[in-house]
Amino acid sequence: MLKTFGKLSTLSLVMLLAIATILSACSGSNSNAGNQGTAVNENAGQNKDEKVTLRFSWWGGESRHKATLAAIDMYMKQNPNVTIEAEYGTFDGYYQKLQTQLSGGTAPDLIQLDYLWINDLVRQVDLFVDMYTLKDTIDISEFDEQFLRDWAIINGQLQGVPTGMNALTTIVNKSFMDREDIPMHEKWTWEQIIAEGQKLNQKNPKMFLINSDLSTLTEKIVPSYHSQLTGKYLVNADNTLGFDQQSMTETFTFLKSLFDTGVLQPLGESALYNAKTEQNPKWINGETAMTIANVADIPKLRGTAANFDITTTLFPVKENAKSTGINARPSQLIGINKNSKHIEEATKFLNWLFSDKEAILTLGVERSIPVKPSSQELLLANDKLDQVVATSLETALANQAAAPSYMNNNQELMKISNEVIEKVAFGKLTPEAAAAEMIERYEAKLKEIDASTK
Amino acid sequence: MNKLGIVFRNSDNRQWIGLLYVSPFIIGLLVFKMYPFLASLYYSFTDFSLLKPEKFVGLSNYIYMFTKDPLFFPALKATLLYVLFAVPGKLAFALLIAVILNVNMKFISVYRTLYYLPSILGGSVAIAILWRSMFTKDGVVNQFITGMGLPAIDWFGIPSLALISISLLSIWQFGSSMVLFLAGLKQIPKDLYEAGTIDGASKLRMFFSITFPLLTPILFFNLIMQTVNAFQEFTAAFLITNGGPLNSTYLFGLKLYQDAFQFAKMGYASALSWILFLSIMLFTVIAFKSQKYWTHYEDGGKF
Amino acid sequence: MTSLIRMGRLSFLTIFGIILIYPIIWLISASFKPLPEIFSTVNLIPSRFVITSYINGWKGSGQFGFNTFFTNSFLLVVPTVIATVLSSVIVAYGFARFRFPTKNLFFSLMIATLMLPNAVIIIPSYLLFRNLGWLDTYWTFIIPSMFATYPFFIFMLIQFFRGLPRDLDESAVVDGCNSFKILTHILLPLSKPALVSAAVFQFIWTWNDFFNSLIYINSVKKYPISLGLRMSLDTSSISNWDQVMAMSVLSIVPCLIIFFLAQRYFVEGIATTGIKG
Repeated sequence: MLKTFGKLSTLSLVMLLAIATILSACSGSNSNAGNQGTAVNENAGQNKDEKVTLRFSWWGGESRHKATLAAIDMYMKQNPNVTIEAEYGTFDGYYQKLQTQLSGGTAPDLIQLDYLWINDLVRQVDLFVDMYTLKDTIDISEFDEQFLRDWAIINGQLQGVPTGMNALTTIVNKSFMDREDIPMHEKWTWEQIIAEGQKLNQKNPKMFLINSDLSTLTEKIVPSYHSQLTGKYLVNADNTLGFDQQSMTETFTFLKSLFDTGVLQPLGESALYNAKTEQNPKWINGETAMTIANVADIPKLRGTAANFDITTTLFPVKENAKSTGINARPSQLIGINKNSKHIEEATKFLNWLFSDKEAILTLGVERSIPVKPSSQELLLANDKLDQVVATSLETALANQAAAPSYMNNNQELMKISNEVIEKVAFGKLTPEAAAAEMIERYEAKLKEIDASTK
Repeated sequence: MNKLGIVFRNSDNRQWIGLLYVSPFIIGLLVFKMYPFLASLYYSFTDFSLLKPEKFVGLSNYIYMFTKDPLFFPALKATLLYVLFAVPGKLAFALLIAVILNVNMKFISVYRTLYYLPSILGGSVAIAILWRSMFTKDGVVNQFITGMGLPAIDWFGIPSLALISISLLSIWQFGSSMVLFLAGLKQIPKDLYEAGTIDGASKLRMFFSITFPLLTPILFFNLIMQTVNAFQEFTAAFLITNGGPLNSTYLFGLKLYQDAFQFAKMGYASALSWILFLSIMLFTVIAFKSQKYWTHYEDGGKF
Repeated sequence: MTSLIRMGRLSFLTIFGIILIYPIIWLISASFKPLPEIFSTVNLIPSRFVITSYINGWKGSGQFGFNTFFTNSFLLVVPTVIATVLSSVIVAYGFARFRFPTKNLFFSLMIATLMLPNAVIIIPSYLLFRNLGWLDTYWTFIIPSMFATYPFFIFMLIQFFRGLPRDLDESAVVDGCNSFKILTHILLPLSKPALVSAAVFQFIWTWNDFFNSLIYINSVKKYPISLGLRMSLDTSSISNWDQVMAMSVLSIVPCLIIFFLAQRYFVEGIATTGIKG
């Protein structure tokens, strides 16, 4: 029977020829996703009583599900001809499923999107309806144009409507600060943080001012610090490197000093809680003073912080910074599938979701604080805004700097940053060597990405 | 070997009927397996990204893998270490416990169920939280270690230990191998042992001269299946470590999942999986080849 | 002497068993803890027992509760298990007892299909099921299992059949049995442990399967347990881990019962009668 394992390869060759025919039959399905601009609004001009079924997919927690379902119910009552099928679930695997569906031409009509992937998705092929072409049906006049340009307009097309606002912030454990007698600055500089953190750690080597988290270092602290240092993020708008050997060495030296001085909890200790700070016992038990997070994460972090008071302060900015490195970003986007058969109806629903008073009140801050000022005021007037969240967002917005270019969120580049930062944090590389590796690998990857974009 | 063998060989009718029995599989293979299988082979020669129509790129995925991808060899290494640690550990435990459990005594069914419990959990969402809580700085494992007077360890902060902890998760779930060993043990005729007892053989000798040889088909099956699965392991690394720290648990299965769905490089991921396929195939061929030296079939080894 | 061995065996089993299932005891205890405590302490005993996670968890976090998800899981799993075992037995019998041309080729292909990771198979499979119109139905699980697409079980049953002496078949032939009767009357009764193991494994694995269900099932009303459990896990909002833990514990129960009921077949079977005689 062994010989037949050898026969397998021969068979494979024969099958390879056969596959050409199979695939040519099936590739029609693959190219569904790449179908450029063939989506026709079949529903246009049709009878108003025409029954329409829309599929709407999102991920989220329990309260988001409930609020969104309630809003959908309201809409269906007002529009009996429209049925909206909700496809909601976990964030785990959502992206995989979405890509599978887009590939198979079976994606829902309305799709919740993470701004982190949007560029990776539409860099190569058009997938979503340009909202600007739907201006007659959806009112986007109130959305800040710069904000849309920074986060939602790619290839000149508005890929989706931002559901809410998000920004960097520092969550402070007030009880801890009082207990350890740490001053409450209105704004912290990194220099002050290092000084206080070092003092704290020297007093008690088991205490750290900030609990560390690899994803926070990669996505927040390192790029923002670099921007504070040089005024540039890691990748420029033209996809060239925003850093050089010197600036990256300085950034990594700073990072290393955070660990060496005992400001940050050692990475090995928090490795189990990567991107899950709310599960880190150090946070839950109130054993660190601060955590760097997104504004939208506040409710989640507060959810497991049982017995201490929190407040927020601005993300730390170094002395003589060229930029704050802080910017508003969307929590998510909702896009309309280019291959949808009911673009018109989907747009109407989306417009209703973002402009109807009842809808805004029902959704509340389930997808973070809305972008439209009128929606914010409405929620404020109805006491639906979380005070801590609102204040921290306001503080961040007041100190806003230019946004990073889309390529900064590329998942492959993030993976590289992750690895190099880990090596610095674990002391496996000196800042100089790490900077060199960063340059080499970023350059190689950017070249690759460029090649695949064309 | 026996008269029947001759009967079988002479009667073509009886032999061809085998094909009829196997036909559901052949249909299933052609309809459900062949296309995905060959499609992935084809993708491995393209730049397929799931989203746009693919373009043929020849061998460049394979060349990139071996010459440029900085994570290819680390992932391969982590996977091999994982296989070397998890598979023997799991099989040894499963066999040991199965032999111990293979008695008639009170509550034995309760014990069997208890020992199978970890396997029921499978890749449950709760596993990640469970394992974290066991191996965290002041978790139970460390409490045990400090109880013996040793210092507590950051299990997921030290690269080599992280891989061991992940392997322990797999070893912990030895239940299905154990069940198969149990079923195999039950298949061994009791009169063989009776004869052995009459001859005055010791228990240990009987284990090596009777139990073990008759269990080799099952051992072989467990070895093949566990290794094939271990090479493709994904869940533990995905749920608990996400590959870290320092890529020490960046298993091949996780790497190709990320390449396929996070980095939108399905073509490249397909190429990776065909290399994985060949590695597993190599192992399997060697294992099948070695079979004649150590496995024992009641059907006389004819297949 | 023998009682000493017995005692030793029993104490080893007990101590080792406790170590083994300690994590599961922890899991059960965690399901009664208030949310922050699940992560903050490693203590076994909750500071206060909370039962609400079970009550709220059961209701689910949207239109459908866990009664729906449990029902769905049974609707998906039971036919899949039956189809898998039936088809695998027949195919394994064909491989184990007959020599026919192309046998080695198909056997090798069967083993080979185990070796490609699901991540790269799932997209073409998805396109296939889409073309067949089976997406968002349980047919994506049931029909393939009718065609013996789980080589694990075929291979496993082959190994067990090959452990049964051919003399058995011979005597049946002499008695005038046809080949199918040999399977049903001679081999199957002797392979009960293997059959039951196959059924139990397939039950538990399909019950726990997440990625395939995630890709093939869209409608929340058709979610099996594995999707229902993760339904409200989010990276950016509060995840009700207390409810997830509680429902995880409940979701183990059917598997536990199935296993407990099935495991007596591992004791029974041929050993009591002896097959050589």
